[in-house]
Amino acid sequence: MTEAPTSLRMIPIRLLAHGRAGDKGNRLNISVIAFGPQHFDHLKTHVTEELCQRAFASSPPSGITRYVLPKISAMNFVLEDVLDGGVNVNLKLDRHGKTLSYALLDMLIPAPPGWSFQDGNQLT
Amino acid sequence: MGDVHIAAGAGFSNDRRELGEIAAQSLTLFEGHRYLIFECLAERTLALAQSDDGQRRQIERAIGYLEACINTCILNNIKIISNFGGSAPKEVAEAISAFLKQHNLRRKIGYVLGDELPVNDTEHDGRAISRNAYIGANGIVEALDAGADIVVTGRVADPSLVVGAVAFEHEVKWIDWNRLAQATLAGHLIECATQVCGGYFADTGAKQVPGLTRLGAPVASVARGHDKLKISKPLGGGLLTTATVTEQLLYEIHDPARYLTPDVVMDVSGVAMRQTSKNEVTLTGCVGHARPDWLKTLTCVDEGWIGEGEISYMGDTCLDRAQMARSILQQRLENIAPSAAPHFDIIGSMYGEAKNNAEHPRDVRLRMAVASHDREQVQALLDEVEALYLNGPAGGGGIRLNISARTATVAGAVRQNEAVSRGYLLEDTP
Repeated sequence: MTEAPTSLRMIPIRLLAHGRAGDKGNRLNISVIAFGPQHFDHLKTHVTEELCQRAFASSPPSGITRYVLPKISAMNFVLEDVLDGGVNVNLKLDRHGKTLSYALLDMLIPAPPGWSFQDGNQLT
Repeated sequence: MGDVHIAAGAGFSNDRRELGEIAAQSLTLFEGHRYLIFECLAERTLALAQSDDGQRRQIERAIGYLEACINTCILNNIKIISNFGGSAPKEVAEAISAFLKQHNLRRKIGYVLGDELPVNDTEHDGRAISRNAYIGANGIVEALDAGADIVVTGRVADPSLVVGAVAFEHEVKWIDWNRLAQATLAGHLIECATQVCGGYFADTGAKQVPGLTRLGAPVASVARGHDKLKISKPLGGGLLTTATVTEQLLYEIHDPARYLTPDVVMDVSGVAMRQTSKNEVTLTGCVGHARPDWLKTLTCVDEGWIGEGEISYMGDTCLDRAQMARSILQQRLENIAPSAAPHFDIIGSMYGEAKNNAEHPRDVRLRMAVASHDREQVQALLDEVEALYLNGPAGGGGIRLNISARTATVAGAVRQNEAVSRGYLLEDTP
């Protein structure tokens, strides 16, 4: 593939945001928190429920809800029925789904306009 | 009248024992009312505590946590609140009392009852082990009011450990939803202990964390009568920033405007935060709404056994051989136990298999997990993994087999008046 123009260059979410997964019963939540407020609107546009659905295409949740918290530049994704019955009966290796935050954070989104790799992963 | 400072010395049942002492030392740096909490109950901890062995282990744990910090707590008048009472708060309180007497230490011990509910034999095919309601902070306040220095609880909602301390010291009314929500937020942020101050946060780049080998403990500071909440990490490694606090703020939260607890419905959708000092963040804007008129319950149900067997393969063709081994197991299990429904992972290729990645892994580990009420059957199916040593593809090694109890947790609800909790002092047992 030849190099795409800057605005079309795809980068993983984790260069712009961090997050954590938590479980309750058969529900999982994953936070996506901008490293700085300057990229929050861009993240809000691209890190959508549909993108989250694609991140979990191999074992799809029965529902995904996104909550937006602009004051702290964060989003919270709630995924239904991804833990095969919940932490205590799940036969998967990671019964809590704790590692799954990185399945979302590794998803590719367009780089923000004017963004360079040196800007990435910086706390402000 | 002063501020209430609460530090967390454990965030799960088997946390680092040194953390309690770091937390107690941190509290000595604050003026006002000082509390140390240990949050020790996960969803199925209560089921594990039902056996005699489990009962003994929960007592040993409680005493292990206290042993590490009790001198500092007594010298500095730090009170302790913990759900390490597990399935038997009174018995754990008695064991603590005996331990303190043995060391000539004097503390008044309180405990909270009321979370345990009768198990309904007709539900879950008679396989229910325990049933508990998540109770609120009122029993803790009663025990503190009776003079307790150490309060031992069972299934109190995690943040209620902090709500109890704040409600007691600031005489918060049970309908003052904003104050209750603020104390709940304090509890929510510190209940996982180091997870808010550098634990479970480290990564490359901007997420580097100093001092991971000896993380410090978080302290929540609640002032009477205004809505600022301070979270800090005075001692030890780690870091406390708006980034670490935001991760913990949203941890295990669903709708940020409606976090349900037995004390209050907490609304963090309008919370703002600011780094007010190194390793100190101040939060504002948390509000509360009337508590739900029901309590969440959790029933632990015996679901038999989980068996896990693993085998490793190395080299360029490792993924092919792991897939061969998986296919052998699938076919043999179909003959031996057609209803076994085994689950397979090929660890090291989770992306490779799914994404058809051209870059193949250089070593992988095949894992099979099965569940059954029949322990012997689980063992027989794991024997099939072990047989891959001689009968499977080339170069398999590092087999490990493990069987563990499988306990399901089923959520339900009862009305608040069906699980009435009370606090007691050990001296005046009901």
